[in-house]
Amino acid sequence: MPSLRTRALLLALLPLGVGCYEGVGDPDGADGASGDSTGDGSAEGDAEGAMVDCEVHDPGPAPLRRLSAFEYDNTIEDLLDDDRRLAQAFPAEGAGGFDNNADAGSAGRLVVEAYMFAAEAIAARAVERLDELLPCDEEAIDEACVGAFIDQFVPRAWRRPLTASERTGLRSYYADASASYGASAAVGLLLQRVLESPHFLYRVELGDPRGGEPVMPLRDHELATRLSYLMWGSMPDEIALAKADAGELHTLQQVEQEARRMVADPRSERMVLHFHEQWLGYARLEDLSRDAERFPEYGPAIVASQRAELEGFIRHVIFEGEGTLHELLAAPYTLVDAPLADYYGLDREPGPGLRPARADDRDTSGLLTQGAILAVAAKATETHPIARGVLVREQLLCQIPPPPPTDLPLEPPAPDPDATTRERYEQHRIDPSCSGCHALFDPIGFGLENFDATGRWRSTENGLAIDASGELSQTDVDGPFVGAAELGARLARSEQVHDCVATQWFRYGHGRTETPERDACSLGLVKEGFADADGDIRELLVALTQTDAFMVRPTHDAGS
Amino acid sequence: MPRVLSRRTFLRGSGGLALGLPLLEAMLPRRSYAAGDVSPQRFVVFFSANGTIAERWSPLGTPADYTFSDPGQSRILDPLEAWRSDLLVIEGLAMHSRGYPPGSNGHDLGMGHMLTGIPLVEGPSGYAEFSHLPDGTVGGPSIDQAIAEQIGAGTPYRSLEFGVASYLELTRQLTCRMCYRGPFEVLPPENDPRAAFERLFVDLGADPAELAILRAQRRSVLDAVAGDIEVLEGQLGAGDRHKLEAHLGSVREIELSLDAMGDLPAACVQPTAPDELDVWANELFPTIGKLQMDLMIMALACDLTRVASLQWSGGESTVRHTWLGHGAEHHELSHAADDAIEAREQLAEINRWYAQQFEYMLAGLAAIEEPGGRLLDHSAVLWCNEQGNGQTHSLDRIPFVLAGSAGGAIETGRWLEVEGHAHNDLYVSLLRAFGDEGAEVFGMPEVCSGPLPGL
Repeated sequence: MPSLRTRALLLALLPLGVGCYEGVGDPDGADGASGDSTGDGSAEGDAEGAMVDCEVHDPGPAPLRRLSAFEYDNTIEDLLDDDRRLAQAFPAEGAGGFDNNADAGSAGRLVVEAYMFAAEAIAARAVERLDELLPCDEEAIDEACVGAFIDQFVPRAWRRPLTASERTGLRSYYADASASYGASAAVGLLLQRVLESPHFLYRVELGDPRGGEPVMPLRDHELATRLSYLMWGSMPDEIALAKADAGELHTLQQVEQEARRMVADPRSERMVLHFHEQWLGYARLEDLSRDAERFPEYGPAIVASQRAELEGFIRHVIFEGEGTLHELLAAPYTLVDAPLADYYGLDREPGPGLRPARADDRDTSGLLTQGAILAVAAKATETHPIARGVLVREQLLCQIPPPPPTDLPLEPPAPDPDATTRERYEQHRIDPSCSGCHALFDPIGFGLENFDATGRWRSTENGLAIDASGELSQTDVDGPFVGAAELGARLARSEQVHDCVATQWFRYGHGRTETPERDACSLGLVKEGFADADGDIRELLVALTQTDAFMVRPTHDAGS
Repeated sequence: MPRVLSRRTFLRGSGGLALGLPLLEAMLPRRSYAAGDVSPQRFVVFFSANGTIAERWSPLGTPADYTFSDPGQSRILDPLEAWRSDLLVIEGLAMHSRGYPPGSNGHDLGMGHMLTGIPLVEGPSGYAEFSHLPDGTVGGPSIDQAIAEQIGAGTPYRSLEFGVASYLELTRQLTCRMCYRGPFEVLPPENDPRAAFERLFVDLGADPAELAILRAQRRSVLDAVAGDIEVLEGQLGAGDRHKLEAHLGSVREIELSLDAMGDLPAACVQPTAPDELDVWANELFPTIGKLQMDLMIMALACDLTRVASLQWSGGESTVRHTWLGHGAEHHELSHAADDAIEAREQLAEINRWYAQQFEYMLAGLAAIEEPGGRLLDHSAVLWCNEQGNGQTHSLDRIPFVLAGSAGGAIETGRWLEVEGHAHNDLYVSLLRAFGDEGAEVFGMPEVCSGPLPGL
């Protein structure tokens, strides 16, 4: 078991806006019993400053994880070289900000039917290429050949060695199916049976129970699986499985070494992009609906270029550039193709595809000024300073703003062709029933007002000059600022932002939202590792594996 | 990574059956009827979001003599005027359970309480004091599932959930879903009419011999999978076991439906296969909605299911009703102030448009003749909303409309004012109408006062 730090500060969701309702008469009056849920953070306040003992190993909860659609597709691609990505048609699932959240829900009928249809389609294609699949000629399929196939294929599909009874069961399943439907159809049914099995769909962790102890180590194959799904969003490769087979994948050092190998492998790129898409909320970029009269040039081509810009930028920073969170948030450049450079009115280095672009006359600050992100946090007709401020609070600072008070009319400022958006939100500053809470997000969003609802730079709105001055409050980098570059520079040096990004990765990596007490030590280690590596994202990924939460798990309460 | 659009054809085409004969030419047996045969009861939920405008929604006149229409003003329920005798307009119900923690976002609470009437549940993280419950869920089953418990057995599908651009926002999952078997057992809707068609109707047009082989093969795979799950259940802890039990339940349901396809009702006609469409395209929202309603009506007529729901977008819908000439999103319009005349008018138009969609569905259900009357007569169709008034996220005066008498169990053609009652009481009445005659509570007992008086 990992040897860890001795004590850690108890985690707490950072309360925001304590007392921000002060201007509101009685926000919960009409709600009766909801007085506990005003989001004033008082419950968390009690916990602040409390310490937990890290010498007691506690991995936190480890709920059974089912493959997400992303993981299913990657796994099928790596297992069978079938890249049709059929799981994209599965019903959407997820919670807590991520599609792999293990507490999002159980497998209902629609999902299980989808598994059945997908397995049928995958098997149908595989059977068309039986020669590639089986260790014998298609004409010479017999039980010995299929037995060898089972021994070679199923441990990869189930990510562990088979038990003797499983091997017998699979052979007899094939024999029965072959008698009824013929050899090649039976291979197809065998594939379906393997791919619809819980051993494929779930990441089963039986662990290595230690008497009555509440915590147990994981088996080598289970650690290989944790590693590969964390780093690649897919199954372990031959190297990882071979290490597990040899019993060489269970110490902290062995796991770290394997984590480093996987992070350095190009397969980690798709996982890193998938994380960012959810963390920053641009998975539905292609579904954005923008008012065509106001934004006639915006459309699918620009959207595609913006996605390429954002993914190209992330890939460049993490895998080719400095690799730090600071660079992600504050890089004074982006990477754009020619049509998008035209749309933005931005000079770019000549050449095909994505090329670097910088500008002296406007703010550029990493993710904060990426068109795709700014467009997602906007309305169909205009910018949305509140949504942009909330994005920074929730996703970059891990602060959860209080909800709008119930039964207080929440009137968006009326359209006004003779005012800027910022001027129209002035009411939020003047009206005491709004100002307490809106001071938390509007002034952050105002700092991004140079970017319109499609993410394009603007210096005026309705003929009036943009005022991009803003202010950060209740952070470790408080104070007034002007424009996206100053905001980005401030956030990029914030310890709070670094801790938050470590927390977001923890949530994604473990497929659950952290528990304040039980995860304090593990998450504390991840934050420390990230800080010690000067905010290097790849080091953060390695640090995620060097904790109790990763290395051990609760013993199953079988029989209880 | 760019999202891949529908791959459903791949899914169904290569593994399952090709599109077969038109249903009427297929050899699947038909039901024969005798005089006095009674058709089964059905329950349907129809959801639209963001609240209404009470003064434009309420009937005009008195409960004894009222109308939905006013020649001088566009009114929300006007498209339903011709259906007044089939409708029960229920005014004044409030989501009292919404006043209890955890949770505090108006749309999370609205969607989570709308069909369950019970406080939300925080997730394992314990984070519950703030706006959205990151890993939280509902506190109990939704009313459609409670009714499915009464009438859902014996058909191939216990219930069917349809969506129209019902997306899932990963940071606000409670706002995006409404049907649950229970806590952490969400039932996501099928958003793709083409996929729904292939799932529901392809088998009906298949060659019976081919179909028999496919079903035997599916049964053999599912049997083996069920065996795996059962062995595994014994090796894991309680929480994990619960997940596996739910998965096993789904496997068993599919297995049962492989047998359940009995003789088809006379009114069952295979619908036309919908084209493959971008189901997330805003401008296709009305088209997708109609396709989904057509499929749902025929699924009910074919007795594939007796419980269905249609979710238009989700709580806090940001659909732009551009086909009504609107530029702004629905949610934003719903917060417009009383004196924002144009925005309020647009919000009324949106609600009126949903009344037109509701009318389309009622007309479809009424056009199906079955033993004992119209399919509509054997159904109860509930139009619900996660808010009363969107301006304030009000939980009071939720605009409920119920259509159909559920086979004579509900007296329609009325306008009911039930101020002071929790919406739970309506669901108690529905449970009774659907055979749970002793029902006294649904959801949170503390807010229930028994069946709705006068229903």
